[in-house]
Amino acid sequence: MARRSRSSFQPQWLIAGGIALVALFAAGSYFFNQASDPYRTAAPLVVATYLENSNSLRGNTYRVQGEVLNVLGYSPSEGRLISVGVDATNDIVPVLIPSELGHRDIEKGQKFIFLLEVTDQGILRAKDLTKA
Amino acid sequence: MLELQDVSLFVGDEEAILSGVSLKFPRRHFAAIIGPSGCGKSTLLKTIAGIAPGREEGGIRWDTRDLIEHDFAPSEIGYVPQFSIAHEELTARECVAAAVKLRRRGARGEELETLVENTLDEVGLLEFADRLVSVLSGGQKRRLALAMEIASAPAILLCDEVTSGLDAQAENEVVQLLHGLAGHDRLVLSVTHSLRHLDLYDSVAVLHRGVLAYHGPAAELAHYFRVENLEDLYARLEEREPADWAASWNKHSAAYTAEIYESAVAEVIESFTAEELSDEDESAPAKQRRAAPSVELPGAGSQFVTLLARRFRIFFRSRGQLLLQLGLILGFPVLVAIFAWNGLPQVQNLSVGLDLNVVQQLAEASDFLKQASKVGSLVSGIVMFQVILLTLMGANNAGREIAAERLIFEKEKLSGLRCVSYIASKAVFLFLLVAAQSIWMGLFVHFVCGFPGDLGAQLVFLLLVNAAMTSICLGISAWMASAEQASLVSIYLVGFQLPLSGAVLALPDWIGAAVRPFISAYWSWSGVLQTLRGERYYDIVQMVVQTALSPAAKCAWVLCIHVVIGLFLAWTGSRASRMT
Repeated sequence: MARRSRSSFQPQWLIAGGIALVALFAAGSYFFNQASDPYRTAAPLVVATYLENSNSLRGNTYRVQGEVLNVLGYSPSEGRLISVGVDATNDIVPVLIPSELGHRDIEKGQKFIFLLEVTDQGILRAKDLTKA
Repeated sequence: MLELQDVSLFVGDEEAILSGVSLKFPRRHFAAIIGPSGCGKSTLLKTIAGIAPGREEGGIRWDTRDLIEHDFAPSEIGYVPQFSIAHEELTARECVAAAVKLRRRGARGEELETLVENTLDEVGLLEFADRLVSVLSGGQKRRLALAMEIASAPAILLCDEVTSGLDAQAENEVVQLLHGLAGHDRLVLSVTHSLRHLDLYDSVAVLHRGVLAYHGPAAELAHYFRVENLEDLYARLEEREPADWAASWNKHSAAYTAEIYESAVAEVIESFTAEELSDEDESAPAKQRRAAPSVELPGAGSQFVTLLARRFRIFFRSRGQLLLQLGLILGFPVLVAIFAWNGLPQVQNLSVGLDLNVVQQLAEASDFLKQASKVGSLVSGIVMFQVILLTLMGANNAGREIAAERLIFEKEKLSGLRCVSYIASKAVFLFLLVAAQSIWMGLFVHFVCGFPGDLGAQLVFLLLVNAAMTSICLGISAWMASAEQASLVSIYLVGFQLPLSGAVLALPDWIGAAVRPFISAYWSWSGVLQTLRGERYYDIVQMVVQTALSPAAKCAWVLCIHVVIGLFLAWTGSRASRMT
């Protein structure tokens, strides 16, 4: 090897750099995937339990990801009641979008992540929602 | 004194390119290294410079210093290669000024000007100082190369075929110049194929197929080889095997080298004080003195500033490059905008009530799907088109950046240029280019097409994809053997971006997961589409594309990693020696 090459490039640097970058990529992917879901700390709604006995879940807060299927009803004071196809189970659940969230554009076919509270009447009431 | 002891060099399958070469050259000496083509002349010079590829055996000492342990300081050695070491777009004065600033700490202002003037004067180039290198004659270019090398006042100057290709007069002038340069307490070794002007050299070394066949006065050459005319010398060499010539030289060398070696030995004795000679162990100050360079190198920051200024000067002097960049910056956004010159069409939403019958719902859904498909493809396509054109610009920016001037860079590295300064100067220059290209693209499409979404975030993703591709292509440029190869690989890389991004056709899951981390276009496309989250277009695009979008922060993160990978590759590639 040429004298001046002895102290120049070391192939180990490439290996070390490669390992470091893979680790950075993996760590970043995990972190940003987590951080991209603003409701990740809320428990997912177990639809079967809800459909079976919604009263048992009263007062709890859950998250649901799904597609807007239809508007089932509307009241200026209460808001819109929509049907949502849950991604994970293909079940359909009714969700009340209260008038406070009435400014949000909600169209048929859109996918959202909903932060839902089970009201005293057992209704799924949206506390917040974001596009999936 | 320069001393080579049984120096051999092996490459490939242990084939000896040099075999047991022993030589001594005093300072203030002008020596020629001659021999037929392929005899190892240039390799010997590179071995002395420490840049010959292969496995070395034997020892090389400079002023009693073992070069394996304490190599030449960059300012101690000047190496003038066969190729041009000056940028064609600069003037001779600018080339020498840059060489001085890259090699001498604190050279600026009047001191710099004086130094440059004196150096140009020394090589007889003062009257052509303000001419562009591209219009200098062959002889003038060689003089310029010598001027750049003596800028750091090296004690040893190695010249590799600096007279080849010159006419007789220019050759005469260059050899006279070298002869003059050797008078300044400097050893000048000149590899040459020419047998003219041998009388000007203090000694001549003859190589034949890697072995030393002669080293002594030029006047004794004809006698030693028993030829009447020196033009018959190379033919005479072929009459015997290299080993025979080596054996013959070992037998007779003392008689021919006595004068040279006496001078060399006297130098060694001079270099030691009586006190140092009386000590068995060399004193630390003496060691330090021998290892210390005569001219201190400038800092990494200073070299960076010099390189950056030179890069901008070259850029603005290259009319072709300037026009190409302007064409790309102004033309590419127009190419994108023509697809939505009158803005993006709107989509009629599906009825959300339950007042339609099944047939009406199906008809509405069918219409919606047609519209959504058209608009979603258009929005996704416009984003991907911007991204692909920016990756193309990135490849064009950096593909040739290092590879095209690799030999000049290698030469400057040998003279003390730090790789980190070089890569940093490239990174800053290219970043400014990338910023101009990306920001104009984003602004043009946003305002001309009325493209919706968060403009600031879009500009960030467009800038990042261009920076990522530029950076990766800079890395490719640093690792490739030629500019053409680097360009080709860079363009292939751009070619793979579109199909592997999954934006047009969805890839099988496992292929997508495996390749997506490496596809900058996907992350930028996905990131720009995420800026439309507040728009209806976001949902429509999601209905149309089959590849899942990634969160914006993750996209930015991956693109930043691509930039870092590219710069890391460029740095490691720049450290690997390419001067062969």
